[in-house]
Amino acid sequence: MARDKHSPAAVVHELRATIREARTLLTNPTAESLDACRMRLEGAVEALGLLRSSLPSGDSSRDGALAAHLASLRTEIAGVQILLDSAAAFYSGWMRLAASMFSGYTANGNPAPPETGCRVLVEV
Amino acid sequence: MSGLFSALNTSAGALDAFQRVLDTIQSNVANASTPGYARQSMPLEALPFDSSGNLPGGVTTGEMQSARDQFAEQNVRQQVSTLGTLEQSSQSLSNLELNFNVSSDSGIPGALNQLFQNFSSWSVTPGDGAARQSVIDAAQQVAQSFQQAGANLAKASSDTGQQIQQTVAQINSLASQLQADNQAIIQGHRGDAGLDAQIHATLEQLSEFADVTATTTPDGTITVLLGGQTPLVIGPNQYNVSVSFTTPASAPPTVAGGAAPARLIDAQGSDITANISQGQLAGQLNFYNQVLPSLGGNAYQQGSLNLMAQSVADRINQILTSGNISDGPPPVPGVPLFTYTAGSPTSVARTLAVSSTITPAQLAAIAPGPPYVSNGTALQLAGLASPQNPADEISGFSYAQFYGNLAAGIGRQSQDAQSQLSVQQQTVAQARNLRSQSSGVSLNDEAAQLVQFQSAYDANSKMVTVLDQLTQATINMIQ
Repeated sequence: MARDKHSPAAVVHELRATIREARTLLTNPTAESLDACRMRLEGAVEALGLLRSSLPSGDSSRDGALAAHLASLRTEIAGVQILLDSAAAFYSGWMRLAASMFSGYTANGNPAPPETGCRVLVEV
Repeated sequence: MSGLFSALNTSAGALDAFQRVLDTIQSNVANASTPGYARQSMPLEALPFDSSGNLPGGVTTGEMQSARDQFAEQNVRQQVSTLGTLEQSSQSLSNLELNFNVSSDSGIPGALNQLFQNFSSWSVTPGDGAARQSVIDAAQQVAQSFQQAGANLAKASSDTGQQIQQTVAQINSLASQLQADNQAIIQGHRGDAGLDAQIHATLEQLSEFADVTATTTPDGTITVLLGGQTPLVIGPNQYNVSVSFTTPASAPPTVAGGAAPARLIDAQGSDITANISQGQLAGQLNFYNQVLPSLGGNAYQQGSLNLMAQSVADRINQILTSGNISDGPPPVPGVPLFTYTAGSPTSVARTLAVSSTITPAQLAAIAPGPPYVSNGTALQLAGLASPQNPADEISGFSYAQFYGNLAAGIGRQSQDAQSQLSVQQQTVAQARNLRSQSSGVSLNDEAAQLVQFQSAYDANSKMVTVLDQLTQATINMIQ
């Protein structure tokens, strides 16, 4: 039986596929892949927002199967978070090293902090 | 003529320098897939030139430089260690999960269900010999199920103990390779790209087994620490670790007959088990010292499975022995149904059996009371399925609930490990990609450089040929 592509289950299925793509992109966290990952996450946020607004409220919204799918989606999102954190930890460590190598040291002997650009915060 | 020879020397020197650069590039290309290899580069340096003096100029090669980034290397090793822990935990727990079925149709829950149903049938017809025989048969199934689960736990423990010994042997063997590599460095092979690749491939292999930190000393040798503080290799010296299956003097056993934990011991004889938090060894130690004992017990705990086997056997025996087989006179008291090795709390499940001397006629159905009930004990035994009395429970849970919690706990741990493993595999891929961005060999870069240097090499080679022919012609002229 073909699944309605607008059904909540189908939307969650699509979302999981998108999040998996983001995870794959994060395995090589270059500037380009991080940008592509961001676009996917933005798309996922939008789709999830639409899904949420389309669901009935109260007791009639109870759907055990959908809840299980969403729980799996959360697991996937947690995976994205772990990969983002690990890439960030690498780059921040790298920047600390770069700071000590290229920016010299502060007056009290600590490595000078590198100049950083603006921060981007993605909330899912 | 001196100018000509000087030009020849300069060109020959440049050719030699370009040849070295080409060799380096060829080595980079050839080793692009070699584990542990990092891109090497050979910088070119200008020689002093003075047209009025004796300095002909030209080019020479500097010292070979490696693009290896130790920060990226350590990051990969850390992630590989975490992957090793999760792979080990996931594998061990999924094997264990197979032995603890939560279905009420098979295994321990199935056998217990069957026994309670037979108690119930017997309570309806307490004098029926067939019903009594069915109770004994079902009790044998319960005993066999516990024996099987206990034996499986014992086998898992034995297998994990062997795995720990093998892992420790592999760690020592890899440390021995690193010690030999350090000796080669001391003997003058410092800067050898092949040796450097070998060392880093060995370190990465080592990090699968345990968390190691590696630092390069000023003399070029590698110092390797296990768990961040235990020396494994320092310069030309190796410090072996070993495993001991004994209880430490500082923590004497509290459960008689329980197996000792596995302890990792350093070269000085100190217990370093607590320092090992990552790698396959950490996963194995955790499984051997924590997960398995929580079920099958060890020198410090009885284990849930043994506790359950003992609770079930003791309670059923207690009910039966409080009843009577016949009214007499004199009344004949009931006898125990189950036996197990006394004085060994950690082997109750493995030794649980139906008493070899009990016969169907010896099952005590009568509760002497008051009030006297002719099928009182049989009814009480049937009631164990849905206990109303705290004496029929373990820590507030019925036997079925207790087993369900135990099996669900294993299932949850296994699922968590599987889920974390999937992400960790990607984290390792990420760490390797980040490393290759900083120290790997890019074939595109190498190809571009190769073309660049090939052109320079060809141009110089032609010049040398021309110069050589010119020189020969000049020699011919003066002879």
